[in-house]
Amino acid sequence: MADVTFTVDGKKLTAPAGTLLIDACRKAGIEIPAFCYYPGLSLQAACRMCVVRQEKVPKLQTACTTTVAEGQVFITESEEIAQARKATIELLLGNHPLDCPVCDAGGECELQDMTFKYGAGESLYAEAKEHREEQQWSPAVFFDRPRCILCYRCIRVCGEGMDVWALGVQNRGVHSTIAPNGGDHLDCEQCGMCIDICPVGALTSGSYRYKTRPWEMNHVSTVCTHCADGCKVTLGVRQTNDGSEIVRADNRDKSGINGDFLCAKGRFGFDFVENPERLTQPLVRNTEGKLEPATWEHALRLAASKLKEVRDSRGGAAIGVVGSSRTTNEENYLLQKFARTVLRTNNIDHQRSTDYAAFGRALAGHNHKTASLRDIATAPAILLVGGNPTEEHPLLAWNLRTNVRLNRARLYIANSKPIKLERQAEATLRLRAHGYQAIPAYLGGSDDTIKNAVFRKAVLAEDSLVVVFGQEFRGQAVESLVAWGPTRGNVRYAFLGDHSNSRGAADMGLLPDLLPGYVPVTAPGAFAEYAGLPATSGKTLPEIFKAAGKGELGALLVVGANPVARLGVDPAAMKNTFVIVQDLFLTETAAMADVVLPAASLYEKSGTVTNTYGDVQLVKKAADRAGVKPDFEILVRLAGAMGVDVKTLVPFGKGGVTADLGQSRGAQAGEADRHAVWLAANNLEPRLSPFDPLAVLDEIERLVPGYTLDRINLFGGNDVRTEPGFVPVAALTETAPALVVPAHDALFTSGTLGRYSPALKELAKHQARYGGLKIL
Amino acid sequence: MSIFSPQLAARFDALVQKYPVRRSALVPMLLYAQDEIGYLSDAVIAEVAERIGITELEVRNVATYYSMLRFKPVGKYNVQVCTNISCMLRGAHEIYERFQEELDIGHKGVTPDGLFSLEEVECIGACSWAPAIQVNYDFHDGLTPEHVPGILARYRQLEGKAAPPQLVFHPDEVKIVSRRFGLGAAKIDRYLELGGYAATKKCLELGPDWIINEMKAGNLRGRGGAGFSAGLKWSFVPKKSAKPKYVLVNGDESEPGTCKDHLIFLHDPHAVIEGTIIAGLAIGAKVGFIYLRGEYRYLLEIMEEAVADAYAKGFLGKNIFGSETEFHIVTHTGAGAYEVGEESALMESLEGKRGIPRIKPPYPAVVGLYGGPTIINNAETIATVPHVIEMGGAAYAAVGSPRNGGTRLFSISGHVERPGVYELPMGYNLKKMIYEVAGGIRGGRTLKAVVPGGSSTPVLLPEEIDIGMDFDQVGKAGSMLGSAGVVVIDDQTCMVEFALRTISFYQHESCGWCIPCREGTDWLKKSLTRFHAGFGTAKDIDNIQYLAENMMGRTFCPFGDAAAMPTLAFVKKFRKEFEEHLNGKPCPFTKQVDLVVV
Repeated sequence: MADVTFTVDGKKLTAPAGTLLIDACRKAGIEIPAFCYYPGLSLQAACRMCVVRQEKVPKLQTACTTTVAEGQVFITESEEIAQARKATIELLLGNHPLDCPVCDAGGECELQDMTFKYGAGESLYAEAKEHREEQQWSPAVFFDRPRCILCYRCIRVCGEGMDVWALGVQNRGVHSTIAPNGGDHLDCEQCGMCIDICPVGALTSGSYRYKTRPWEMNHVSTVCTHCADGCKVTLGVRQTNDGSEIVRADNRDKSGINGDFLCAKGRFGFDFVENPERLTQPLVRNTEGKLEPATWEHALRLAASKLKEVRDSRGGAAIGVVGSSRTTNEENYLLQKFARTVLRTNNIDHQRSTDYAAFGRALAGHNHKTASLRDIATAPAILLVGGNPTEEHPLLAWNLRTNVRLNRARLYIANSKPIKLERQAEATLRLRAHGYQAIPAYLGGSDDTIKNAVFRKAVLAEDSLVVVFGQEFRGQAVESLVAWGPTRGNVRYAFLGDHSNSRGAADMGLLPDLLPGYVPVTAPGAFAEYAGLPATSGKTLPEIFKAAGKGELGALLVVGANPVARLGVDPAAMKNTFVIVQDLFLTETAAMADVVLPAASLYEKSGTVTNTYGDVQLVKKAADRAGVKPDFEILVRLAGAMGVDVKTLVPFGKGGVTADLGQSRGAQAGEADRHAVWLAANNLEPRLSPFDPLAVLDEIERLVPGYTLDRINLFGGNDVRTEPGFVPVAALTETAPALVVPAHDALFTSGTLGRYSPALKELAKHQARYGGLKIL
Repeated sequence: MSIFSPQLAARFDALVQKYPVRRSALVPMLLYAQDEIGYLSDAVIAEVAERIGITELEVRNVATYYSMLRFKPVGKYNVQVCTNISCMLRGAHEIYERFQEELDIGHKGVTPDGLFSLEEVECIGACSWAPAIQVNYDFHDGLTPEHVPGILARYRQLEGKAAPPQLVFHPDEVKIVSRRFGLGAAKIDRYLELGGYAATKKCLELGPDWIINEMKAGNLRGRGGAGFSAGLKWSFVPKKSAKPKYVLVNGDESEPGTCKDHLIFLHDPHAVIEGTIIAGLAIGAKVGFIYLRGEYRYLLEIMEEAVADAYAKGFLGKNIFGSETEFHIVTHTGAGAYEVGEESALMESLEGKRGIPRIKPPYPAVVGLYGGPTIINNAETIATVPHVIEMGGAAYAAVGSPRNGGTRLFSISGHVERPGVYELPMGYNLKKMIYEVAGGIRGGRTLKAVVPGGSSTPVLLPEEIDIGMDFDQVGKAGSMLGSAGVVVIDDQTCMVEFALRTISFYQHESCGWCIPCREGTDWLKKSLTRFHAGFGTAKDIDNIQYLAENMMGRTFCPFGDAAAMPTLAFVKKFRKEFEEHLNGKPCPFTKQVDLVVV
């Protein structure tokens, strides 16, 4: 709509006609208070806090429902308005318990802030307050009714936002109350969005309540370790005797790729870090064949000497390396560099859940054909083929729903099973089981297998389309689907994987045949600066274990993976292999190791991860645990113990020390932080330590095609794009679709890691007991 | 398998088909289910949810909103004693106490044999015949405590039907809307004999522009209370609309002190039908809804019969009166909610939702029921329409005062000798109305105060009542004509108690959507309860005034003003009486009540 000019508090503002006054003001830095108004959710006009005076209108108007028009004049702060807001707060406080000293929301409560701002300090209320016992609706959600101010945000975020509709309002007048769908419990996706959006302490989190005060925590923004959507998550951490613990996860500054959103795993599934089964000491198998605690020095020396011995006596081909889909890009890069240049082997692989190699191959030579997660939130049309994002990619599902709801995007779904997102779909194409192979031909016009011309016509009528497809596609099928795009206008793709850095594992070359950036190891001159890079492809994950079974594998290094459980490896087969495992827990794989090195989780280290859409985000160290080390540091120490000059692995110091070591940083609060971001972004931050992952990030950017990152945004905490349309067409090799095994984690599962989260187990149990929720 | 009887199940099957969306059947369905099963059990809620196609949570959200719907069994005969202002003034508390004694149960109690239950309820729309009660859906009015044993005995013998309320007459009356009252016009043939449906035929001939012009000329201002010109409102409806247009008749008569629509539905249902058709013709709607409050079940049955008769005669249906015009009427029951009288809340309720008002704009004339342009008028306004058409707008307007066309049905209640519903010209003198038409103050007592237009309107002092009863003159006197429910209060009445009873009603009826109304009404009720019980402090009086002042104009809908306005008037005009309650002094008018914090 055309821009209009209007006046607010004497200032001339301009906004498109029809913009809500409250939004127009907020954009111009004029804060209008509100409890019930929430951007993106339906309008309520219930709290009456946003009242403003409009010229020539007799009554105060609510800024959340007033749309701006040419020439209007508003006053947003005056004695009259302040009094109206003060009175509203006084009315709210009448029956509101003043248990702020013990309330979870104390210190970050919108009602407290408003009370303070409008000076409603004197209580006029002389009646008895009505107390109600607090209710537990699920392991995650508690409800303290007297604290509720009935802003209806929770109801709307659950219904409009999540499309779950598990909360309602019951009774009338002063007896009105928020109520859960199960009568006394919630049957829902347990996302906890209602808790986060609650402006007061009425809805509190089972994992956080009564644990701490908000100001006793440090708040660190990092990336969720669970699924491949890569939500930004703010961890509230607090010091403990053996480090610092995570007491809360939320998305308090809403600045991330996920905006308002966080799912159950992101919000509650951080507690694995505090699991008592957590390894905090290296373990070494003793002469009796039992694992016993050892010092880091001893464990590293033993592991290093074994690796060196096998490499020197039997060659790199007798060593296998298995990487992780949850470790950082820097760790993955370092691991493959360590394998290839120190262990001199291409026997490196990871548990592949998605055929990213095929995706890279399919996109070879085509730039700007991938869609970021943000693109999906704004694209005018999306074709979703396969998968069930509600369960496996909660943020993707949120973005799709939000895009349909707020932007009227058209969502087309082709799936062999009914999925919940079909409620938002413009059209649905039901496929037969395993019927996905026919999709490219169908879209190309063939009616041979799939007969539904209407759906196709609607999809083909879209000028601009994002195709999101799941793990039903592998190998040639990926290429066929992607090949359909370039022939017709603006089609972009997103390929769905499983874990927080599944994409990064593939991008960073945790593959026996491909170097970082999907450059074949056989490509002439590839990664020339890698000294001693073996020129032939290595063994795949099953081949590594097969070799071990045949006694051909002298040593195996497993980082953050549990292939024994996944592949069903018989521990007896490993008797002739020296196994080194870096992990958080004594997994089935770690249990058969000779040396177990306790690793830090993603929440306890720094680096970057790449989500399945190719968005790279900064991981920041939040928690700390005595006894564990980040995989990055373990690898550097292992290399050091093997006698390697670690500078050849991690280019620290080398040309990096160009900054002023802090002298020019201003004294003004916050300036130092901004300065640090600027230094890091411009490669001026000194890399003084071999354990600084950013030193490796510099090398990744230099060597890995597609990883030319917008550093100022990356270090500022934003998601930045990679562009995988980089693989040299001449260098393409076949991929191995058979090795792809999707994890298909759902709302409360997260691979091996999820098994160690009591919160997720509790939620799964609750939903198993009460889960009548009809997904469709 | 349905838990309902085959008849009820069949009725539900038909009910969901009556509306443009199935969900509209929700509230009536819940009430009818309750009539059969006794209460809304989990099984009822589950089946209703299934039948409508919504979640049980949604059914509960809606069901818990309406005060007639209940979730526990009650007695076979549920005695509902109205204690709202008009009934209170004429001894409702004594009636209620007598029932408590006779049945040996309290509020919401059930007798051990399960035969009776007792409930204190809000206004049931029988103010001029107060005190009144309902036993299930039967009205019993004009009661004294001595009637109580007889009523109970008759129900024990299963013959409890009540007689309809008494009509009153006065020579000053100008009978237009009430012209056919008491003449048997509920029967269609009798209605036709009395000249019925001529106006509709005339409108069919002369068309929408003519209708709207006549309506504008008639100066017929909304009888629900807002006083907005009906003709003007109709003219706001866009001629062309992609969505169907609707007429919605507001028969949710709930303003304490008002019982006029009660008589219209009882005596002249076809006038409502005619008015609805004419409104439909004026705006080009094909469907009209007539929404009656849930308590008016016997009136709904009368309306339903009248609608069926009109269909049978071809006055409703595909080709009304043999014309090419199609028009349908759907009657609809509420289930106990004053707030639903607000037009946008009424639409929500008809759409099967909680009676929460909508954000305006858009106004109903543009976006109303089911998103289509809708005109919503009070039942009296609609019943007046055929008369405006018959008389001609100018002639109708001439009956009233300037800018206030025609007559009004004044529901006079409280401490007068001859309470009743009188039809008097707009602008009729209030003092004359009380002292001559209604026969003066009962028992030769002295007048203390008058609530001129239903409980929401600020109280007037005896020296303020020499005014003409039309929208403008009452407005000038600092109050409102409102729904023309005139409640007369004598000198033996405690104004603190009267204020408390008034605000208790608003506390009970607040929908709870917005903060100032939800919290303000509750706080005021609590303060006044304590105050009346003799535990008030001087500061309370200022606080009450402060709260009321800060509700005024700040709420989502006019309900907040409706609660705050009278409160402010009570405190300002009777401050001395409030002060007499201070310092532990007993209420000088009523026996001491225990402090009850509700």
